[in-house]
Amino acid sequence: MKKIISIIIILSIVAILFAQNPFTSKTDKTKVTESKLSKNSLWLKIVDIQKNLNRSVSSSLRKLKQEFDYKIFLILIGVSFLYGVVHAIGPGHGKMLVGAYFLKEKASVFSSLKIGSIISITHSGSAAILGLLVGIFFKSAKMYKDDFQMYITIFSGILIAVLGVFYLLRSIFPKKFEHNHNSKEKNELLLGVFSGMVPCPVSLTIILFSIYLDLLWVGISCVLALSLGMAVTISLIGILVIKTRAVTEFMTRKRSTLSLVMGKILSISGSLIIISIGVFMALSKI
Amino acid sequence: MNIKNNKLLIILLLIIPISIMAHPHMFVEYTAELIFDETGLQGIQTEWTFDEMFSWQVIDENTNGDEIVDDEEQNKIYQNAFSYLANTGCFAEFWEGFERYQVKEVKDFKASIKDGMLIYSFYLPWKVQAESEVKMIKFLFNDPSYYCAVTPKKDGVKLIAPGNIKTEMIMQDRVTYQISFQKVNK
Repeated sequence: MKKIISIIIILSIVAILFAQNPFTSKTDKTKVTESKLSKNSLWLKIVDIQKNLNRSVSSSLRKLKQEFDYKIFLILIGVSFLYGVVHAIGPGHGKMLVGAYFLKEKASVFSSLKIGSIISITHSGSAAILGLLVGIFFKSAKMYKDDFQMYITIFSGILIAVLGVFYLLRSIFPKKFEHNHNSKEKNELLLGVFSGMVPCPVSLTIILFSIYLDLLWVGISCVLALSLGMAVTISLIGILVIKTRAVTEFMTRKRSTLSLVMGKILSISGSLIIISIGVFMALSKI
Repeated sequence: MNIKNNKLLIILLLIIPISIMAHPHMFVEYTAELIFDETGLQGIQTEWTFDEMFSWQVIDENTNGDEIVDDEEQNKIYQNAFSYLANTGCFAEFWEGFERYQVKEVKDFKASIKDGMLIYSFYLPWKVQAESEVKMIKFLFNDPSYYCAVTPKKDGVKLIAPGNIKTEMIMQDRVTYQISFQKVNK
């Protein structure tokens, strides 16, 4: 178990560490690194799908600029939704946190749908707001710099780590912390917002591109559909964790001590993963 | 906890990090020519075409919007949207046998625009001496952060070699090219 948790943490760190645009961001990472994942056939299939969806979005936006056609618009919305589903499979969209949270916390399928929606709406919503501010006030992408992404990632990382520490303390000293339906709702909302607050680069690009084409409302519709797609993927990951946790609990139900210990281990492990993700998110940008 | 329960959790926990395998926010398709002379490999001349939405961001920030990129615009594009990458080896993963080769410099950078797409062409020196025995090299372009997906265009990689160098190229997987070469009598 410890080994598995270590692997997860290492993989999430690798993903988060390099999450800035390598073309437009200064980096000190001069060492050459090798990746076996990028040669994996499953990865390459997912890349191909995303590449085609990205191309469809931009070409549909161009077509709509030339002549507005509702059929093309509807296709664009469908393509954006699919793009969201596939795009959210990748790291940096809060799935690790959702997984860790539901590993830690006994929850319902509804909770997963709720957190998945909050993360994706915040993730795309923050990008849309940033895009609107940049696009409307500066009329171009010139003013947008990756520095903003860096600061908000540090901020988000700190908030997630603090939330993780709170979860950990509550797991260790359950009697000292209030834990009712309201506090659970609040925790889910906070986790969703903190995880999703770093703007999604794809949503940001779509908004800026649509402003450039003078198709702002079409861009916003695209980002909404993209959010919905991402919510589906994130929620499914959450549901998977919830169901697995339930099965594990069911199988250990006859041995009450073991079940209790198991629940405690899951709860503390989940909290530690959340803290690690937050700490490494913040440290990677400092 | 019994073995069955353990397995369930292990499978679940392994599913989550698999998600690391799908992230790109931008896409590049490249062509490449491996240039040989009579002594062996000299380097790789490559051309990268970016996706339309990233292209637009760079074009909007660094040019006047027409498809002609003048010297001043070339310099701005290099500084704002290439130099960071050039300093870290342009995602090059080059191998001489089992030895990794670190790209030290990038030459002849040129940005151009075609049909709204941004294109970079540049030369990566990579000298490997040819001998009478077969030598093996491997190459691919790969962003280890997964932010950018760099994939070859179909039939986009070519070998340019004189008559005294015998070459052969195979694709190991969809992104890695393995090339063998040796000196032969003309």
